[in-house]
Amino acid sequence: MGFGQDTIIRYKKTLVPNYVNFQYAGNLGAYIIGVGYYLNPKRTLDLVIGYGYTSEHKATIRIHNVFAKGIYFPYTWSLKKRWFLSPQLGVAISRQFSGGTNTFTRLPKTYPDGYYAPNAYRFHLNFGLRVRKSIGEDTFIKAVDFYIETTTNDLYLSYLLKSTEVGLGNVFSMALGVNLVLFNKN
Amino acid sequence: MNKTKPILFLFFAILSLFSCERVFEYNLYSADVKDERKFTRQKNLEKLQDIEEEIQDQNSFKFALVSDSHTYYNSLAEVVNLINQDEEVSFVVHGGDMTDGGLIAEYSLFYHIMEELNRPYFTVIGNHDCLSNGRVIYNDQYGPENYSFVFKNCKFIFFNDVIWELNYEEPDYIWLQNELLNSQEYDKTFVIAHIPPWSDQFTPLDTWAYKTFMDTANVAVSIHGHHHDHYMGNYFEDSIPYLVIGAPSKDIFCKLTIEPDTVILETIKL
Repeated sequence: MGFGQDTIIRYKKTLVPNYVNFQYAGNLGAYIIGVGYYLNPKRTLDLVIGYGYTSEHKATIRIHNVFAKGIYFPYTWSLKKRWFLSPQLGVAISRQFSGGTNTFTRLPKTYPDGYYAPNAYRFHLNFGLRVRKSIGEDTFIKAVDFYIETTTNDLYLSYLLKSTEVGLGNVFSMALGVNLVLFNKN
Repeated sequence: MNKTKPILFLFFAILSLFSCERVFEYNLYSADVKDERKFTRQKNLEKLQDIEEEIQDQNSFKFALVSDSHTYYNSLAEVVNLINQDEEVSFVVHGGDMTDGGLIAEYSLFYHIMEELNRPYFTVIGNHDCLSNGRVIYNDQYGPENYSFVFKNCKFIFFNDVIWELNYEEPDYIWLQNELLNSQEYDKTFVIAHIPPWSDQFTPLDTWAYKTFMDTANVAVSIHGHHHDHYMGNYFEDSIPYLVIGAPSKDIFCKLTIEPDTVILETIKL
């Protein structure tokens, strides 16, 4: 074996994430923190599980979100040494908690059957670009990702499909994010 | 490597950045009403004052009524367009449920379409408008849920009668009673409340209370939405006419012409 005496190899356990995710905005909260997992050896599929916080300052009321997001990277291009560019497509499901009784996962008994559809879960669709700066395999942080994505959700898309009065600008918004990659291998 | 695809992707990403109404949207359930929308009712009341001065020599006037537009934005825009073509309409009443889920995006879309109206408009809160954080948004965008104004010596009272979505909070009947106390000082009094008093959310006691207030004050018309189907009649077989405004999704809205001795209802099919 050719390892030097002070080489430390860290092996990732199954539940330990590959990266830590930070995101700003994107309908999952103003400030989002999550953990990301590579789902396949080719690293074209990721899963991010996270929590989003929206303060009273940002939304008039305090809102908490939890979400799971699947991300697909159809291509990765090498830009120059250690820089990589990938388009990304994502789908997410989120659950929001903002207090009160007017968002619910099951119709409260107050209402007759079918009076409202449950409104605390939402499905999100997003696409964007990720730039990865690979740092090295021996460092604690193996790579840093920067991404920008545009996002929408099932409700907004229904408005868009139902009405010509609703434009793309009404249904899409932006998010910015950073991933700190701690384990590049599963 | 072929760099065309990533550049195209970047181009669309930047394009969408500038096309968004809100570049960064934090939360669907947020309640942050933009500052310029916070005095919508006040601005409409100022416009109404100007209209009242313009028609001070007339002894009749007309107003349009629409309700339960929800997310039927095309139908609402068509109603707005038709109202704009009728110069006799002095103002517009929306009978509630301007949103489907009480979301800020839905309040925004409604606001944008109603901005195209060349008359002032006044809203009453509906049960759908109270979902999620809609009640907070409504109060911020339009002001208190219960309010009134006087136009051409007719009193218009907007009353929040939503019960279930407000955790069985009793409608403020004391406020309503006080507003109706001096109704004899006006030529006519109109009450606008989203839910008809015979509807699902009313207990027999609520129905009795509401009906008694209407009878005592001899209200000209009690105006509602909620059911989506148009109705006009003396529901309780007394002297008070009740109007349920049909929803734009049912291709209908209406107008009321107020003359000294009578009230004339027109229903308009889209």
